[in-house]
Parts: sequence; structure tokens; C-alpha cells
Amino acid sequence: MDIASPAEEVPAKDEDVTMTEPSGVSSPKELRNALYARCASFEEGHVFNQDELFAFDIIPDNSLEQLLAYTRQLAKDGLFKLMTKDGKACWKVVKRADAIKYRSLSQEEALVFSYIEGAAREGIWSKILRSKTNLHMTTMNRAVKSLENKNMIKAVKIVKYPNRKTYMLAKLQPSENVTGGPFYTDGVLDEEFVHQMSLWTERYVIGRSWWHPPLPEHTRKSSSKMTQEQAEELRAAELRQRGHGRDRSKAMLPMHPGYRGHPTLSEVTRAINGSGLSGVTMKESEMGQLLDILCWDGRLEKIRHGKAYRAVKQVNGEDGVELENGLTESPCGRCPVFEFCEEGGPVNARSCEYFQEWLQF
Amino acid sequence: MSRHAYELCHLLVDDTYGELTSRIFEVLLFHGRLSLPALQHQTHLSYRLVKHGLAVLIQQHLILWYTSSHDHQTLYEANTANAYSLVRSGKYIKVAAAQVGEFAGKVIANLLLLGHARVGDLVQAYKAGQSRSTHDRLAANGGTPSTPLSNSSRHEEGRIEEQNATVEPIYGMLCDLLRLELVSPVHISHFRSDADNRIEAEKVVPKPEVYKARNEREQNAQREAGIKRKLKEWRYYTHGEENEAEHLKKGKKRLHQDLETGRLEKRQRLYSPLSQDVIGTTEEVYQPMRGEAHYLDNDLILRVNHAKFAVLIRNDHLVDLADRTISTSTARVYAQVLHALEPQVQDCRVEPANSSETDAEADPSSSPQISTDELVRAIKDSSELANTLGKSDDGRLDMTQFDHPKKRRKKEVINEDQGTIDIEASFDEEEDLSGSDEEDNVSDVSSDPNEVNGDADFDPNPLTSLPHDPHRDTIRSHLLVLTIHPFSFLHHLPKTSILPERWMIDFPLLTKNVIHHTLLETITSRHGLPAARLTRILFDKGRTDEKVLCSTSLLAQKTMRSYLLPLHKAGMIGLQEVPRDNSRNPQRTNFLWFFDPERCRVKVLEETYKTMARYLKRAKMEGEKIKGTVEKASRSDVVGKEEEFLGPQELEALNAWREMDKRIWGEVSRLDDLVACLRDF
Ligand code: SF4
Repeated sequence: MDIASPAEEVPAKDEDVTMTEPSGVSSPKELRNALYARCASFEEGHVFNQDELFAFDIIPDNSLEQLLAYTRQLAKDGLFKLMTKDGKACWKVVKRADAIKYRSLSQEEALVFSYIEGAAREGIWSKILRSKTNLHMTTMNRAVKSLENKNMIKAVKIVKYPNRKTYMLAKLQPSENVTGGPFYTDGVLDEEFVHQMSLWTERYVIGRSWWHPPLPEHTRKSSSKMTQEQAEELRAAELRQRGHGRDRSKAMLPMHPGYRGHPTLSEVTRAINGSGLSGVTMKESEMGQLLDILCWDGRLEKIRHGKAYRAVKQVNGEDGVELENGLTESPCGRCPVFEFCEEGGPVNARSCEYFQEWLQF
Repeated sequence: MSRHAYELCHLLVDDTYGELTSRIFEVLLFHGRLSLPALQHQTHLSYRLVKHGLAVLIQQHLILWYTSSHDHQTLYEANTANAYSLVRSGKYIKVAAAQVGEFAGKVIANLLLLGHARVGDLVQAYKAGQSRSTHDRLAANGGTPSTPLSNSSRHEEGRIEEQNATVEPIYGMLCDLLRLELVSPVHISHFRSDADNRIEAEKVVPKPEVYKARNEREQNAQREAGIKRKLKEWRYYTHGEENEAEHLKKGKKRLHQDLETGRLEKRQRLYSPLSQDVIGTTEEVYQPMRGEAHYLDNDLILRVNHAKFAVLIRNDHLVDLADRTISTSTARVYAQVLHALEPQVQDCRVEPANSSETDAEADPSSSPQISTDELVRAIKDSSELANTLGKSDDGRLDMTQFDHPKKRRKKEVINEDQGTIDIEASFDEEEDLSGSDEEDNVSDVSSDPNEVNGDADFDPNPLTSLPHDPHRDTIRSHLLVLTIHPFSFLHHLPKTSILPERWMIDFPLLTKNVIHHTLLETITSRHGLPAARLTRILFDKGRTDEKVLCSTSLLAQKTMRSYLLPLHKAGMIGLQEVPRDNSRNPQRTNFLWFFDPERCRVKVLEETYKTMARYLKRAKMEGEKIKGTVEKASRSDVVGKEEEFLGPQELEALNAWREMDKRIWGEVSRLDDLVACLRDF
């Protein structure tokens, strides 16, 4: 007793005639309302299949024919939404208010709306929308415009394809695929945010992956002769140091090989969420992305088979060290005309000015 | 090698040995192998001069030659590797001085200049103390260098003032050098190119039919192995006869005859003045050192062993890297490891013994290794290593991770919720430990990890079981720190039932990492951090299209492009076009960026050669500017009394030039470090 497909044509009879026949108890309308009310009492978005509807014991004699008639009418009114699952028909309840809205739409608008709704939080690209609805460009544009004006849909910017016009229901929050996660604001990369987050993370990891030997004695002793102010300053500095992390320094020493405190992804995530640095709660996957970036920047490294992170001890441009090699510190290594420089050519080592500069430096 | 490398070699030869030599060398560089008449034709020099020049170049190991057995024609070829090594003279001397002593440094300096020398002559020269004249005598057939050496070896040149040195220490020192492989006996193969050496080896090694094997393929494979062994033997001058005997399963006597006849035949075939294999010796089985006494055959001819120096330079580089990336104390321990392994490492680049052996790398026994005990003995004092490692606040340490993998697999339970790795020794494990004493199946790693095999052979915690020895513990900790590092400085082989705990260096992997690191450092300082980020992403992810690259790198598209394009232009990364259909329309094409470390390495290496050549050109030109003064200053009557003979202006110019020269050569040496890393390691 299955319904083969929702598209199956049920002979269109006059509704009232069909309804009056079996039950003398309730009018079809009442029954319909009862069915709707029963379904609406479920949580939103619940999908009902045929058996579930029968189980409500509302349909007289569990007649399939009647059930179909009722649901069809409900769907027509926009109160039920017909769907298919595994080739069988099933239904979803639509809120009355929404149904009214839906009913006010023109045919094209309703079509467009249904596809946009179907795309849910991922949104749908206008080009795809057009090919799916098979509408003419202007017709579709008009429909989209009017839907936008009714505040039913909105245009969103997809971070991967910023140039694609993409729509989604106005009430939905775009998914992370669309927004690009917390690192993007309105589809634009928030470089400052990324920078701040990575600075924090880096310091956090440094503080936990290297040993910072205490300051040598003499600096300690001198503190006794310090003025109150100086001492407080020092204390503040130390507190700052001890806070969430530390700065890189040449004096850092490696941890004992048995040390298990190198931060892992979940630790870093928990720490950064605890810090209140970010307005939104960071997910592990997002922090993983950030940590990856720091690794690619050569500032952190993965140890213990990628399970934990450790700071790289020496990084270009910090501590006053430029990690240069023979090539990059040479005038030729940075020379804009390197390729053309040749003995007897217009640029050559004999007359080279960069060299002159370097030699005189 | 490229044009720039050739240019560089030419400049180096020119700078060290003067014009005649460099002219011949240059022709050989740019024309390839030439016979004597052809060479004469190309250089426009007289027969006598060409012969003379060739003699010098051969003496200095700057050219290779080979006389074919077909037409008895001798062909000459430039030895670019040795020519390049001239730039390292200063480093060689320093290394030798550090390893054997000041005096050894001087001997190396002289050997570098002379190419090779007889032990007897060297000893005579130093004994008599009349270095100048001996030097001239030694170099008589080579002609004295016409310009002073430009690097530090120049200062050593000809000024050997070991007036009172007696013979004994000289022999001793030479023995040390030989033992450390810093010098090696000269073998005729050292004058031949690789291809020629192979031809010769093929002649010497028995034909495939001789080998006992099931089929032709195996025979060929065995012969191939034999050839490889022979080549290696020549190269390092080791005696592989015994191995060969074993290999062929022949009587030793028989083999000897074979070898002898082989050698005799070769002698007849060779049309050359240097008709013996080991030049200068006639003994059949050659023993350069006899017994314990410091004695060397006076007729033995020595040369500098470049391969070993490369190893030592690499060691220094690695220690320096460990110092920068880990800590000075750890680097010190590492230096000891490397030093202890030195005798086991003859060459930086080791080909796998058998290329068909796919699991060659899985076999740790082939790599140089050392046991903890040996190391602990080698490091006398670890007091300065105290307090050089940090511990967590609660002092909890977990050493189980360094147990045998089988053991570890059971013990480690990753607790994702807490984000830490907890160790849970379960009950049944405890039982295993007590109940399987008789099991002895350690090497069977492929067996089911859950099976209870050989666990008792592994100490659950080696630290606790040993009598507490802080010296050993400290060293061991530092070694473990080295193993954790992503470069894989060191590899830990936990204790097994048969073998004690050992440490090994997987040089191919380590050098791959080091080269990669160097390339990225170059990219970072030339193109900026984001460029390095993009390159690393490309390396990790392979070919990547721009969109994905943009979202992975968290860079705005514009910013990203501003880094990608210069990188591409500089040849550091590549761009591949993959058309989506046949139309080849750019709009229907995927553009994929990629990073090929090998390509990048070659490119950076080329640039380094070119840069070095630029420096030398400049140095030469600066020198020419004040040629007169320099010449005057290097006159024997002026040396040491510059102030008397030179005017204040001349003096100033001279000093300025010297300063500049020093700077240029210092920079060239830094560039050479890069070449060493990218090419030789
Ligand atoms: S010599 Fe001068 S012009 Fe030539 S590559 Fe070097 S810096 Fe550039």
C-alpha cells in the first residue's frame, strides 16, 4: 500500500464529495484541521511518513485514498509540504504564518522560493537557480527581486566565489562554507583578527613548549635596590610574561623529552575560548586551520606525529636575527637585474653599483 | 653543472694557479673532452706550453684523463668538482687543524696547493725546514703559482717553519690524517671520470658467466654488484679482495691469481706514465701503515680526500643547526654523536647498496649507529649539561614513549577529551610483563601487536631499571630531544633482547629536511613570510588551484597574488595549466600552482654559483685597480717592511683593498656554505 511517487496522478475529484462519503462524524475540513494540528504539535521540521499519519487515528478507516486527499488539500493550502524519501511520499508541516506568505506569491516566485529554501544554509547560485527553475532571466530576476523586497530571501557573499550572486532564506544564518568561518567578516578576510589570534596562539604555544630559565641572580638582587615603582613595573612585566604565554627568546631551553605538556589542538582551542579574545567560540577545526597557518609560516612545528605543537626556536626577523644565508645577504641575491648580469653585458660585476654600496657599507 | 658553475671554476683556477693553467682549464671546461692536438688547437698555445700546463693540472687534480685501449689516444677533461673545492681550502685547513692539530692544517694547505705529494717528500720538506726550496722542488713539474692564493691558504703557502720537527711526529701526523681519512692514497681512478672508471672496472671484474647463479639476470646482478664494489674500492682505496673472495666462493689463492693477471693485463694495456694502480707503490697487497708504529711508506702518494672533508663540514653545519633550533647543550651532545660516527661515514651521499632493494631504508643496520654506552663513555663530563632541560611544573615525565614500539602501542591511550596523552597500563598488561619470560620473539614485529610476545625483554622503563646514573640520564635525555625534532636529527633504536639501545642517523632523510629548511629560509628572507607560507602549503598539499590556496592560506586574494607572482618569476614555484576541455580556452583551464623542491634547489644552487662568480669578478677587478701596489707589496724584500717601502697613499689603498678582499672572500665562503648544503650534503 505504498505510494509509488508523489507525482502520481490521483484522479481529481471534487473534494467535498469525497469527504462526505465515509465518516459521518466530522467534516473533512475538521479532520484536516485536526490532522494539521496534530502534526504541528511535533517539533518543527519533523517529517511524517504515511504510517505515522495513520497512527494518529484521525483518518477514518485508515483509508489511503482519504489520506491522500487530505494531504493534497493541505499542501494546496501551503500548510503541508510534500516531499519524497526513498521514493515514498512524506510530509512536513508549514507554519500557518509562512503558509500565508507562501500563498501570496506568484507561481514563479513560489518556484524560485522553493529552490532557495531547498538550498538551506549553503545558499544557491543564481545561475544554478535559473537552470533549475528553467525560467527566463528577466522573469527570474523579477521574482528574486520581489522576494527580496518581501524580506523572504537575502543575497549572501560566498567567500570562495565572491563574484557569484547567491541567495538564501532571509531567516537563515549562512553556513561556514559560505562565510568562511570566523576569519571572515561579510565574506571578506578579517586580516587583523587572524593576526591577533595567531599572535595569541603563538605566545601560548611558546610558553608551553620551551623552558624559560629564570632570570640570572644578579638581576634579581638589584631589584632590592629598586624604587617601589620600578619593582611594581617589574612585577607587572613578569605577570604579563606568565599570563597566557611568552615571547620567543634565544635563552629558551628545550623541554625534557618526557615532557607531555606540549599543547594539543584541543588544549589550544580551549585556552583561546577561555581567553575571551574572540567574540565567537572557536571550533577545533578553525583553530586547526590557524595552527596550520602558523606551522606553514615556520613559527610552530608539529611534534609527536602531529599530535602536539611546539614553537620554532628561531624565527626570521626576531631577536634581531635575520636568518640569512650567503645568497640572500649578497647584493646579487636581491638584485633586480640578476638575470641579465653578465661579463661584457650592460650590467656586470665590474661596474655594479649595488656592489659598490655593499663594499662601502 | 651550468655555465655559471663553469665560469666560477675557471675564475677559481685562474685565481689560484695563474693564467696558463686557467687558459687550458677554460678550454677544457667549455669544449669538453679533448685530445692533446685538439687542445693545442683550441688554446693557440705551443705544444710545449700545453704539455707543461697539462702536467700542472694533472698534478693538481684539476683535470681527468683517460687513455682508451682501442686507439691509445689520451683524452683530457676538466675536473670541475676539484676546481670548485679550491674555494674551500680555508675550511679544509681549519677542519684539519681542529681535528689533528695546527701542523696538520699546514700539511693540508700544502697538499691542496700541490694536488698530491709523496710521503717521503713531505717528510723531507718539513724535516729540513727548508720549505721554500722543497716546495719549489715538489712543484717543479707544476710550475709555481703565479699569483698568490687568495684565500687563507695563501698565508700558509711556502711558510712552513717547523724548523726542528723530527721525523717521528711528522709520520705520526700523517698517519692520523690517513686514519681519519682526511688524506687518502692516490689511486689511478682518481684521475679518471666516472664513466671511464666504469669501463675500467668492467674490464677487471670477471664476466657474468663466472658467477654461480641460477639465471642470467642474477649473474648480471652479481656482476653489477661486483663492479660497484670495485669502484668503491678504488674510490676510497679500501681492500675488498677478501669480500670478493667470499662472494665468489673461490679459493683465495685462485682469486689472487685472477687479480694478479687482471692487473698485469691492465698494466700492459695502459698507455700511460702512471702505470701502477696505486701510484708510487709496487707492492701487491698494499699496506700503507705497518703495525702500531708510526711508519708510512715513503713512496706512498697522498692527496686530500674531499669526500671526507665534506662529511666534516656537514657535521659542523648540523651541529650549528641543532644549536640554533634546539640549544647549545644539546648541540654539544650531538657533536659528540657525529664525531663518534665519523669513521662510519665516508661520503655524504650514499647510494643504497642495492638499488633493487626496496626495503633498504627499513633496515637500520645499514646506517651508521652507535650505542648509548659508547656515547656515554665518549662524553667525559656532563656537568655543564645539568639544568639544561625544562620540566613541567609538577615534574611529571613520561618516558614510556621511547620504549619499543610494540610495547608503546599497548600502553598509549590517547585521551582526546582531555587533549593529553595518558598512559594506562591495563591489568592484562601487567600480567604479560610477569608471565612471558620465556618468550623471545622480539624481531617478529609483523606479528599481531596484541599477541603477548617478547614483552618481558623490554624494560617498561629503562630509566628506573638502571642503576641511577645522572651522567647517563642527562646524555640520554639530550639524545631523545634530538630525536623528537622534526628534522630527525637522530633516530632512536630502543633496546631489544639482542642489541643494546642504539642511536642512528638517517642521513638521507635528515639532509632532505635540512635542504628543505634552507630553501624555505631563502624564500622567507627574499620574498617574505607569506611567500614561505604559500610555498609550504604547496609542498604539503601538492598541486593546488588558486581558490583553494587562497582559503587555506588565509590571505586575501590580492595579497596572495602579490606573493605568488614574484615567486613564480623567480622560479621557486611552478604553474601548471590543465585544460578542462579541448578548446584550450584560458577561461576553461585550471591553473595549478606547485612547488618542486628539487627544481627549486637547482635554481638556488645556480644562483649561488653565479653570485660567487660575480664576487670573484669583482675581487679581481678591485685587485687590478691597485695591481702595482699589490705587486710591490708582495715583493720578497718588501714583505714585512711595507711601511718603509710604500707611501702613505699606497699603504692606505693596500689596506683598504685587503679589507675589501677579506670581506669578499668571507662572503664567498658563506655562499660556499650554501652550496655545500644544497649540493654536497
Ligand atoms: S653584480 Fe651587481 S648587477 Fe650583477 S647581479 Fe650582482 S648586484 Fe646585480
